[in-house]
Amino acid sequence: MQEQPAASGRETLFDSEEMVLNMGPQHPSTHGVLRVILRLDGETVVDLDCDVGYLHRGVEKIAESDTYAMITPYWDRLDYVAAVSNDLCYVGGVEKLLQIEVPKRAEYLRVVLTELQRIASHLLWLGTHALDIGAVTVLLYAFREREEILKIFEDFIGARLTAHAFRIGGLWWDVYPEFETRVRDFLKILPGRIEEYETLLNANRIWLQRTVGIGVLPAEEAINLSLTGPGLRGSGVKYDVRKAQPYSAYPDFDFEIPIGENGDTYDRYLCRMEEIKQAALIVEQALDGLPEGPVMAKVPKVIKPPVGEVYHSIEAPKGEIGVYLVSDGTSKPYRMRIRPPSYINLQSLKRMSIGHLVADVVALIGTLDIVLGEVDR
Amino acid sequence: MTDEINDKPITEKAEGSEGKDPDKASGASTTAVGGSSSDESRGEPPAASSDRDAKPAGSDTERDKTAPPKAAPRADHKPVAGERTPPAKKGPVITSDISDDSLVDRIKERFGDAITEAVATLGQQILRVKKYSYVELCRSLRDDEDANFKMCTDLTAVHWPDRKGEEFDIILFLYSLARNRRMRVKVAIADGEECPSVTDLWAGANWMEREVFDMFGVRFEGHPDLRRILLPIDWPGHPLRKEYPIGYQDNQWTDQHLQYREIDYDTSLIDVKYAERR
Repeated sequence: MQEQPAASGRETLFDSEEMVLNMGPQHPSTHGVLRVILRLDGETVVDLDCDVGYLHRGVEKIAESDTYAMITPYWDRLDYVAAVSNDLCYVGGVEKLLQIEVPKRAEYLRVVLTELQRIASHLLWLGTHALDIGAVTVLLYAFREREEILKIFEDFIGARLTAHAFRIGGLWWDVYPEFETRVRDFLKILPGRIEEYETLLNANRIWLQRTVGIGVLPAEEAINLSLTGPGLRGSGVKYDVRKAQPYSAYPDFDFEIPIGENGDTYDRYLCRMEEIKQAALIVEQALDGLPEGPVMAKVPKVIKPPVGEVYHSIEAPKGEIGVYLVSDGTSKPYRMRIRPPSYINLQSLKRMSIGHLVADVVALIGTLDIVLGEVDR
Repeated sequence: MTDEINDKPITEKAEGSEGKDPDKASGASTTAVGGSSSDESRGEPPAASSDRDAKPAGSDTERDKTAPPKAAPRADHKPVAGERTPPAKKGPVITSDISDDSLVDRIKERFGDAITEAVATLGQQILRVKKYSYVELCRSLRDDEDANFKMCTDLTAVHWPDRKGEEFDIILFLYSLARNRRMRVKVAIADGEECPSVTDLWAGANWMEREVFDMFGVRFEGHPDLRRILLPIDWPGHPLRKEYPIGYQDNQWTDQHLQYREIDYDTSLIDVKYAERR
């Protein structure tokens, strides 16, 4: 008799009700202005919806009224932590449409700059991802090395973030005389520094608890969700545009494509760390074999590609970034479509998060490595 | 398989007819971009899309000075359309028919008249399919052992306002991991018509179709969650349509949603508030 009211009283005291939680758009762990709407059962995520578009600038619309050369700077501002990689995609697309042969030296320098950018982008990812999970130290270390790369960029291009290095047909300038020694100096210190990060994280118990088994994505599902980049490779799919459909000077270099086994956050971390090492190897090979010669092809003053269309994609730090250009024979594209890796990768956040805790959503946004400038365009 | 790889343009064709005969060049290659059938005689440009090219230089700008978006802006708005430079001479032809490809041959055989075009532009293969066979073709491209297009790389649209009855091209970019090849599937639909959704086949197409709906106003039949994605839900018009002018800013929406309030700096008011609270 006494038990009965107590039990019912407990039920009314702890009635279960799903709660809707708004995360962002002004949340530090969302890496920009991403709003995530979570439906929670206790602390477990039941459903999730992403609200994107806060940074929408209409780059694809603007491109329709700009000439081909004028569009290039807009690409710097898509994925603003990997501006050089974006540029390589766009200029590559226009060059393919125009059927321009880019000089060998320019192609090699493009590879050097793009791989340095990959290292810088992955270092920024490492720092912020670790910071989100609670390891503040790594951020400070990672930014120290990223700063070196940005200084190399600044002395060559004049900009640190929106480094507008490439022109249609090659490079605007040849590199400055000390460029090679400075890059080599950086490559000398990098392996030791990577060791430092790995000492901090690889066997760190908190890091392992927060990443191992979190957001497991089987290979078939990752492919079906159009995931590309380290996210896909972490699930064990060996797809890298640099190897699968080589562009620029990549066929000349030896490098490995790291893949994961379990498809969880920890494997994706290992993949990116290995990619930093491989990128350093590519830069070294490119500097060793750097040919002499011009850095700019013969490009007409007014660029008017033939009537037609082209799709060109490269392996950006975030995944496969692509450009689809439709030309009507005028000096402005009839339509330009950007295939944004961050936007398309962000779709899989829902699939990864359901069943995990709220705190894991923070880790999963980090592991997808999104940049909102590219998501929203 | 590697003939489809990025860096192998078809150069023989290109050098053959390099800008010698502008009419011929424009006729043949607009077929690839927007036309209906590539088997028609190449000298005669197809009706709709090359109308635009055949016009004298001045009239091209007229085409783009179009009306403001459907949700009529307030009267004091003067939309400024981006003007395009008129096309002068055409470059080389970069499109040719696909020959000697077993997969494409088999697809043509199976779908017959539904495949209206099978061409390669700069070595990149494009299939144009009629709407009624679109999903069926996609399904067979995904599940066929020789095709194995398990990944939908991208999905987008192009607006051709001059092509009456098929104003939109929906373009699907497929990639086969097993065969390392790419394929583009195009389907033309009319303005206001619904396009069948491929989200059942590729879950990744979800946000891509939502973006096409957001930017072009094309609805997808069978899409699980067709909402605007980049723009606000109540945004008027669809920006990537050609009639949507670039210089136009929708102040109405801004006035409604981003209101600012006059801040009263009269300190006595603040004091009163504090006094009340006390």
